[in-house]
Amino acid sequence: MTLIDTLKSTLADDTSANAKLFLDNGIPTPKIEKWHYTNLNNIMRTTWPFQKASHASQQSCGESDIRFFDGHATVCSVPDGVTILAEREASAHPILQSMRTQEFSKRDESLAALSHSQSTPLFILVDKKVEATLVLENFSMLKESVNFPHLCIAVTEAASLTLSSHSHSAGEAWSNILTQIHIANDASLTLMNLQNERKDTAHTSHTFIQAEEGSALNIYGMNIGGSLGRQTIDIDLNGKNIQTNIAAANLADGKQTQDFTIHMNHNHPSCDTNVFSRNVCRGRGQSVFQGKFYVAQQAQQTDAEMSCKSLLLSDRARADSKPELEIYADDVKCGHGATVGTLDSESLFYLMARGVPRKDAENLLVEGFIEEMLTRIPDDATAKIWRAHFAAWLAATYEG
Amino acid sequence: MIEIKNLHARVDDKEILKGLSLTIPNGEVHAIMGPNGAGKSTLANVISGKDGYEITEGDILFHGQSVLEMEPEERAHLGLFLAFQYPVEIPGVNSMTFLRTALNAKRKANGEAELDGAEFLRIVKTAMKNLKIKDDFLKRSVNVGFSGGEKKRFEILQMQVLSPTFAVLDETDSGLDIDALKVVAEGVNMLRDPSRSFLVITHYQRLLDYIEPDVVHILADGKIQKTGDKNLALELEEKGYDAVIGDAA
Repeated sequence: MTLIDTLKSTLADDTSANAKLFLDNGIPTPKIEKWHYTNLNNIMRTTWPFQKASHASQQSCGESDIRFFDGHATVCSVPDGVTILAEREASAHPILQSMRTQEFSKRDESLAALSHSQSTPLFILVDKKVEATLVLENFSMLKESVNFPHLCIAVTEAASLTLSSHSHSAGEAWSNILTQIHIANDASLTLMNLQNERKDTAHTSHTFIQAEEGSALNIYGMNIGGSLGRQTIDIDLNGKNIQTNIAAANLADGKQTQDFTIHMNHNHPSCDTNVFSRNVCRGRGQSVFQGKFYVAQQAQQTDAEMSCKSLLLSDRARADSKPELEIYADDVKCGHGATVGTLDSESLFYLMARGVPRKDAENLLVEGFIEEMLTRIPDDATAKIWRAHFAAWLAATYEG
Repeated sequence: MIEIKNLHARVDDKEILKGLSLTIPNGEVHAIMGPNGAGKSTLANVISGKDGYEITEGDILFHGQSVLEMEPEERAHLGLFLAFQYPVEIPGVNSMTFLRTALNAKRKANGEAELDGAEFLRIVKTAMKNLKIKDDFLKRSVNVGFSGGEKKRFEILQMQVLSPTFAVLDETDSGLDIDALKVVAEGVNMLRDPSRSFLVITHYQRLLDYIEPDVVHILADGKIQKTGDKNLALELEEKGYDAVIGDAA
C-alpha cells in the first residue's frame, strides 16, 4: 500500500470537513493550478507505513525556544508577554478559536486540511505592545513517518513578533507544516523560515496570514534541503496601510524541486507590497516561483511590486516562474518582472581578467545573486546563519 | 616586454585585426589612437583573452611567452591587466571581497602566501588615498551605483593593488570630467616604472597631456598605420585622421 492509501484508510472514519477535503481530493496533482509545476508523485508512491509519532517525551530545545519533534511541540522558554495557551484557553480566544475551527474548502488546500485534521496545534498569544522573538525548530526524527507541526499565532495590537524557524530531519520523512497567524492593527510580524531537510525528506509548509490595518509583514524564506521543498504563503490584507516585504530563495540541485508559492489578497486601500525571489538551479534541480497579487476593486492606491530572477547552472536544470496580477482597482501601481538565464559572460570575464579562476568566478557570481536576497533580511545573525548554509550548498556537489 | 606579431583576429566572419604588429619594451608607455571601428577595443580584449575572438594568424608574446592559449586569469597571474572601457556591475558581490579574492588568486598562482585581512587592508587603504576614494566605497557591490568617474577610479585602484607589469587602458578617459581625469592619470603615472609598461587606448589627445606617452601609434583598418612620438597625437588633434593617415581612416 502506498502512503496515501494508508493515510486515506486512517482518516476514513474522520467526519470533519478538513478530513473530508483531503479524502475527496487526495494529494494535489499538477492539474491543480497552484501545484502545476510541483509534482508530489514521489510522496504519493512511497510505501512507508503511515506512522504518526506518539507524543515525544520532553526533549531539550538546544538553542531554540520551541522544538517540534515529529510534529509535537516541546516548549523550553517563552519571552515575557508571550503566552502558550492550552486548548481549553485557546477556545475562549475568538481569533485562536477561529483558527482551530477553520474549515479549508479549496482543492489546492487539501494538504493544509490534512494537517489541520491530524494535528494538535500549539497556540501562541503575543500580548499588546510586546516585542518578542521566538526561535523555533522543526525536527523529524522518526524514519518513514509523516509529521504535522501546527502553529496558531495571534499577535495582538501594536505587538511585534519575530519568529525564526529552521526545519531539518534525520531523513525519510514528510513534514507537512501548518501555520496560521493573525496580525492585529499596527502589529508587526517578521517570519524567517529556513528549510534544510535531509535529501530524502519532503517538506511542504502552508502559512496563512490574516493582517489588519497598519500592520507590517516581513517574510523571508529559503529552500535548500529535502527532495522536495514547498513553502506556500497565503496572505489576506484586511485593512489599510499594510506594509509587506517578502524575499525568498530556492536552491535546487540533484533532482530536488524547490518551490515558493505566494498568494496575496489586497482587499483594502493603500497597502505596499514587495516580493523578491531568487532561484538557483543546477544538476537536474527545479525551482518554482508562483506569485499572485489579487487587488480588489476597493483596494485603490495599492503599490505592489514582484520580481523573480532565476539562474540555471546546468543544461538539465529547470526554473518555472509564474508571476500573476489580477487587478480590479483602477488607481494602483502594480508590476512584475521575471528573468531566467545563465551566468553573465561579461561579469565572468571581468572577474577572470582580474585573475579569479573560472570556477571561483562562477561561485562569486552565484553568491552575489543570492546575497541580494540575504541582504534584505534585517536580522544580521539570521542572515549570517543562512549565508553559511548557502555557502555549504554552493561548495557541495550533490548526487541523486 | 610585450610583442604583438602580425595579429589577425576575427569575430564571426568579420576580420577586425588584419596583421597588427607592436612591441612595447619594459618601462614604456605607448598610446594607440584611432577612429571608431579601427579595432582598438578588439585589441584590448584579445590581449586579455576574452572569448568570442578567433585568432587566425600571428602571436602575442609576454616576456617571450605566447599567451594566446591561456585563460584570462592565467594572463592576469602573469602580470597582464586590462582597465575596462565599461567596467561591469556585479550586484551582490562586495568590492572589497572581489579585490581580495583577485589579489590572493594572483599571489597563490605565483607561489606567494595569501594576504591576511590587515595586510590587504594596508595595501588597499594606500591605493584609496592615492586615488582620493572614500572609505565606504568598497563596502558597495562591484561598480553598482558608481558614477562614471568612480568606475574608472576603481579600475585604477584595482590596477594599483594588483600591480601588473603590463596594463592596457581601454578608453579610460571616456566619461570623465577633467578633475577625475587628472586623478586617474596621476594614478597611472604613480605606477610608471622601468619594469612596467602600458598601452593607453584613447580617442582623444587630451588624456595624453596627463599621461605622457613615449610612443604614439595610429590604428586604423585593423593595422598600425603610423607610429611616432607624442607630437603625432598633437598633429592628429589638429588635422584629423583623414589628413594624417589618408584612406586607411
